Amino acid sequence: MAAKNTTSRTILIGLDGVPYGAIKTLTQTGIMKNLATIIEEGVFRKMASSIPEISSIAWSSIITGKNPGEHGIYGFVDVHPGTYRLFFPNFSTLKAPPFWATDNGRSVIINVPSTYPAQKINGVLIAGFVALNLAKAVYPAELVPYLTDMGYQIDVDSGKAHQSIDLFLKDLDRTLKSRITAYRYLWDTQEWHTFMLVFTGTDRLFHFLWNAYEDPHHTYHETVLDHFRQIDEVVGEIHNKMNDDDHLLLMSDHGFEALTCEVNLNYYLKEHGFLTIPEGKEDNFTNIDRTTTAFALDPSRIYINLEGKYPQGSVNPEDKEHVMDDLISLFQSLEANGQKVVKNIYRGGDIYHGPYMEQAPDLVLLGNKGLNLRANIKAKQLIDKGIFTGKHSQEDAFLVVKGKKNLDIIPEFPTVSDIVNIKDNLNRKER
Amino acid sequence: MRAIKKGMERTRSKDATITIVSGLPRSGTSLMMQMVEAGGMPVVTDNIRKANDDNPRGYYEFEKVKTIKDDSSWLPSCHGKAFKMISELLYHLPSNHTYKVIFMKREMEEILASQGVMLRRLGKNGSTLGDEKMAGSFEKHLQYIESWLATQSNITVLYVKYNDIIREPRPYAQSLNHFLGGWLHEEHMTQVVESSLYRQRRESTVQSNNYVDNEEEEVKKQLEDLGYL
Repeated sequence: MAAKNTTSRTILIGLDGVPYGAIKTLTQTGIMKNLATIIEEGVFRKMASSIPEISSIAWSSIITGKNPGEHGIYGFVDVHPGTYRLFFPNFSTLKAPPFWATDNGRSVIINVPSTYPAQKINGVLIAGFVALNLAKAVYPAELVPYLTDMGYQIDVDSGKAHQSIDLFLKDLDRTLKSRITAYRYLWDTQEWHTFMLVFTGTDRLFHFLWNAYEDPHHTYHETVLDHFRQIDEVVGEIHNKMNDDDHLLLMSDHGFEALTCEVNLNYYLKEHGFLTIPEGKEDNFTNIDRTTTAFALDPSRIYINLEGKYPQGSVNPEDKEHVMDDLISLFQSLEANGQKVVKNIYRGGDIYHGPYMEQAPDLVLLGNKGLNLRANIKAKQLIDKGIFTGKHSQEDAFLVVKGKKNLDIIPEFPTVSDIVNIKDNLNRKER
Repeated sequence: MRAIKKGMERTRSKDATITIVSGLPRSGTSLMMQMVEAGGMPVVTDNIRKANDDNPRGYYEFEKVKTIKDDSSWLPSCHGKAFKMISELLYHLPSNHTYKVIFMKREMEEILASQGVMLRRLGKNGSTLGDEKMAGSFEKHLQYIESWLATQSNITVLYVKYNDIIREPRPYAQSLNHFLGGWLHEEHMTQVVESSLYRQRRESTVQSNNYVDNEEEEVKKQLEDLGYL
């Protein structure tokens, strides 16, 4: 390990979508030996993801330390206020500052989801999913040619998995290797106080190949494990390069589990007369009509069609609570293949707080194990089973913090919104 | 369901009039349609003309209005709703309906400049008349149409200056609400203008921070590929 430096630094490594259970297995079976060492000498906790368990929300909470009511990100898709027109929130939509905007030192931030388009930073930022154009994904712009030369790829093309798993895996590997090259280059060439690197291929892999991860006899089982071996090498490399008093946090934004089937919430709302698209009109949100009581946005956010809030609002605000009760009863009775679909139903006002509550969903559903809740308004049936074999899970993200001496500042049951606080407390303790 | 019934009763009481947002092209009619929609009034649009950099939230076009001279059979379905119609077509409104017209007015220089930007973006040259002649022609048209509107007993008109509404949206949201019957959500109407202004300010300082039109399709595809949409 490197010599002790006078100023401690913080390194955050993200493994998108990797559940606590998988980390436990991969470290105990020797696939992630370096991480096993860090866990042995540090703190390893199960961490709760955001509600719903979606990367855009969870990473926004991780980097701001805030809940959606404070940072304004409720999903990958949202509706413009006062309309049913969809838009895709991005880094410009984030209302709370990320930690690097208020920290004193320089930061290098690589591939944090929902940080596109890149904004000015004291340091370097390479935006993560959904980032389309490298020129708009990188700050400062001078770095774009270097990244282009090293073949930096923002994300794997997941569309390839729908054509050929082999093509997808090749692209996944290429993306990972380019990310490792970029991290090494920036680690060596930049001055920094905080270094954050997120691996997102893990999430992509689990979406399409969770079955291969779980089944040792699956053709792609070893390929999946190899991906984790490569990441573990980087974890070990970083650990070795750290100074004694540097801080290291590793985390995921949500967990993963086997997907049994997808349940289409808007189909269910339509079937029970809560959502109406007039006959002859295309099934999209802008065609919602005045007899609609509620609609869902991905993955499981329910919005009451309130008068005064939406153009075709039908529910008098005075009746909102009754309507929510009706909807809760409705979703409690929802079954798929003989199994209750919904595990928990949260009222927006109970789980979110802050100045951006106007955009908050009225209800959020959490599905039972294996059941992926979807809000595809065009769905023609209640239950689907597509190409995906894995789905996000809410309660089993993970957190690892280097060093046992920090045990007292890690909550026993941390959530994604605790990361900034933990990071700041580690630095305070050092001083 | 009780909530729905209450909503339907309220809606029926608003259904007597047809609301039309009118004015010259690029006079702020799309922004006004956004306000009216945000306020809670149903709008009639076919979404054929997609949103782009010139009108990021869409044009609110309704193709059938162009046929009004020959075919007005679709008008009864617009009671209690709002649609957009360029001022030239107002002359053809049948007199057997009652209309409320929100007539957008904007500085002529800005109208011409905005039309020019849009035409350049579309790779078109625009009118051969030249700005001065074009302005004269527009001014003449406005004079005629305003005189004509003043004599129509079935049409009530509210003239709204785009530049004023941009400067101070709240009082205009109030007068607009008053004009349309007093049941619209003024705060939402105000927010539409403020967020539009915020967008313009942000775009002027940071080059295109939001996903632009062609990017949105790609974002959608990437989210669909992972089952997020």
